[in-house]
Parts: sequence; C-alpha cells; structure tokens
Amino acid sequence: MTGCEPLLHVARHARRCRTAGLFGLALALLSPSAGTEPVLARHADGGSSAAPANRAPALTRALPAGSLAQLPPPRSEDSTTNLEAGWRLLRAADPRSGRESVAVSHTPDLLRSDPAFAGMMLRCSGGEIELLFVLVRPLSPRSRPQVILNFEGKSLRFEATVVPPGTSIRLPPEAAALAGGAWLSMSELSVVIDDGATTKINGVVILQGLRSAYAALRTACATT
Amino acid sequence: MQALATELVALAPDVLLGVGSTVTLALQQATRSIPIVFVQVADPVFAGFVSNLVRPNSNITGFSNFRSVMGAKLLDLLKACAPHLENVMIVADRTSPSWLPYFRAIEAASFGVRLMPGGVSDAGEIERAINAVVAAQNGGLIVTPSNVTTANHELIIGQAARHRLRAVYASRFFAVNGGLMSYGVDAADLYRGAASYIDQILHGAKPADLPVQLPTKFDLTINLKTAKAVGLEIPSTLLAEADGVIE
Repeated sequence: MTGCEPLLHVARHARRCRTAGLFGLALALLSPSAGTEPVLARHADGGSSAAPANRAPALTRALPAGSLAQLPPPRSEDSTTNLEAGWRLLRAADPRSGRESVAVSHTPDLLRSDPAFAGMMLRCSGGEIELLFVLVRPLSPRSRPQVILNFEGKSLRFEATVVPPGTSIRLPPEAAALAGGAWLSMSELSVVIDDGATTKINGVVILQGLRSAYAALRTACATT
Repeated sequence: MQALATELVALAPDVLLGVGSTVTLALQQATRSIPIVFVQVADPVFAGFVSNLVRPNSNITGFSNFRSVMGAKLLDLLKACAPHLENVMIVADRTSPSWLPYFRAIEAASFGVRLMPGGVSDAGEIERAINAVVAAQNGGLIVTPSNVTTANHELIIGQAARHRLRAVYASRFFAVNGGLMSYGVDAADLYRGAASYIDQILHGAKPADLPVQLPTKFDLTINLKTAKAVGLEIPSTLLAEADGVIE
C-alpha cells in the first residue's frame, strides 16, 4: 500500500497521487539551456549520481507539452547526490560562464501541494545563497509574483522575481536568510504563489534535513 | 561612496568616523590600517567589520544601535496603536548590512501578523513598498534606520500620513520630523561614545583593543501632533511609557 491509496476516491487527491505514483519522489536538474535557471522535474527514480539519458521518458511525462525543448539531454558533468531526508545536492555546468553551478533542492509534499509546484531550491550564486521555488508551468517573465510563506504560526509576504524562462521564481535575500537561519530547525514550510494571472499555487516543503543540506551547499559553494 | 571613501583615506587621517553600515563598509574596503570608529551599525560581526565584539581584532570598532530585542518591541508598539493590524511592511535599505539583523529580529517576533519585507534602495521603491502595504489593508510600517530611509524621510513620513498608516521608526530622527513614533537608541549618545573612542585612539589606543559597545538604553518617542493629524488616539499606557512626547 502506498500513502496515496486511502485518498484515491477523492478526485483532487487522486490526481496528486497519480503524479506521485508515476514520478515517485523527484530528481532535480540544473538546466544548462537556461543558463543558471533550475528545472526541478518529478522523476521515478530516487537514485543519485549523474542522470542517465534513459530517464528522459519520465521527464517527458513530468513536464507540460512543449517544455521538453527547454530540457537538453543530461550532461556528463551534471550530477545529483542524495543528502539526508530527501534533499539533493545538484551540480551542473553553467554554459555561459563555464563555472559549476551548485544547489540543493527538495521536492514538495505531494499530498499537500498543487501539481504545479515542483519544489524548493537553494542555489549558490556569487558566493551568496539564493532561495527559489520551482514550478512545473512557467509564469510570465514580467510578472512579479507575490509569495506568502507560512511557518510556525508566522506569515511573510515577499515579492519574487521570475527567472527566465519562467519555471522558477527567486525570492529576495531576506527569504534566503531565513532558510539559513530560522528554517534550519523547522519541520515544514507552506508556500502560496500568486502571480495575479493564474490560480494561486500552493505548496508544502518538508524541511527536515535542511540543516545538513544547507551545510553541504555552503561547503560546495565555497569550493566552486 | 567607495570613491569618496578612497579619497578620504588618501588624506591619511589619524582616524575615520563611519556613520552607518554602508559608509563603514566603504571605509573598510578603502583601508585596513587607519582606525575606523563606527556609529549606527546594527550588527558589526554580521557586517564583517569585527570578528568579535569584545576584541574586534581589526582596525574597526564602534557603537552599535541595535539589539535583537528591538524587533519584538517595534512590533508590539505597532500592535498597540493598531489593534486590527494584519500586514506589516518593513521598510529598510536592502543594500545595507544592517537590514538583515533588523529583519531577523522582527521576523522572530512576528506572530499574528503578516510581514511584508520591503527592501528598498531609492524613493521609487519606497513608494512601491508603501503602496503594497496600503493595498494589503490593515497595514502598518516599521522603518529601520539607514542612509536611504533617512534621506527619504519626508517621503516616508508623508506617505504614511497620506494613507493614515500606523508607523514606527527605529530612530528618533523620524519622530522628531513628523513620524508617528520611534523606538531606538539616542543617536547623540552614540556620537558621544564615538568621540570618546576617537580621543582614546588619538592618544595611542588601538581599535582592536576597544570593545564594540552595544546600546543599553532605548527611547520611545511619540509624536502626538502626527497622531492627531491621522486621527489616531494613542493608548494612555503607551503614552505613559514614552520617554518623549511631541505635542
């Protein structure tokens, strides 16, 4: 029995469970075609190391029609490493600068997140750590989505920027500072993304293991 | 800013006074040997000015204007004069290293309200931030001290009055100039302390041996004239708590 089965009679949840059943946990890739734009794709395999080319069919199912063109074949230098509690350390070469891009990511709690929400990513950028949320469908690059973060009885609202081509949004530095501070001892984070044009996207990210993932990112950040 | 700092350092002064994190950062980048005494810096360790408050271990020391307890107090003051407060915009200079310590302290105490961190760097962004909290309704402002917010104090205070926003400022300067209320250190105290440190340095003391001083006294100032102008009645308990009331 999977965790989804008791909910199958509820259409809304059944849709989520199909997603979970098809694609399992997650695999995150940094998309070289979009510069440092991260693409977090739901995937059937929870394995680590470099993503082999035979995983492409799962990625095809995970992304909306037309998105595959954005996702080039995995490169040999792109790799993922499993960390504690479902976090993954991602490394990919940035085709613009030739430098390695490093990030840690976590997929959402599928049962409590909209299918359009693909997860959370902390990325090393110029020695600083950025917080991004990754989406399945792109937002308009010109939109300024409002992001509400709820955690431990608190609620914070940020204005995010859309990272081209639109499948991820970057939050301001103070949000990233929370990720490296208060969130390290928290269990989960609830996210609402509102770009004013589409339906609000809700997501929940389990934060267990963030402390060690953050430490791993810091270390990787210092060596790239 | 960096060019001005370099120009100052080229004059080979015996000691430099840095007002605020942004200025101190520019001075730090211009010299690692000339003593620098700072005032109005929130967290000198976070900003990278000193490695340790007790023994700075650098050519920099000075007087901080911030303690993390201020976060809860600023929020409490806002709640006290705005019982239906739902959204709180923090107006702060995002380019200043002082921004994050204030944000973290306010965030840690932000139960029951929605924080809207508004990092700004110019007048346009300040207006946008204020408009955002007005649109969110039942909003209030917390304004942290920085060169950007101080330089745009008329805009901030004017917009707050126009939209009848409850606002609390982390510097008395704003309340004196028409802001609703302020809670923070007395800047004159910081400068008096800086003068004392500069005197010691001119007499041979090394900044590395002079501990960074944290504030111990905070003043609450309420501008009743502004409160009346926006039709706000300040609770008597708050007035009783105030160190200064401007009528």
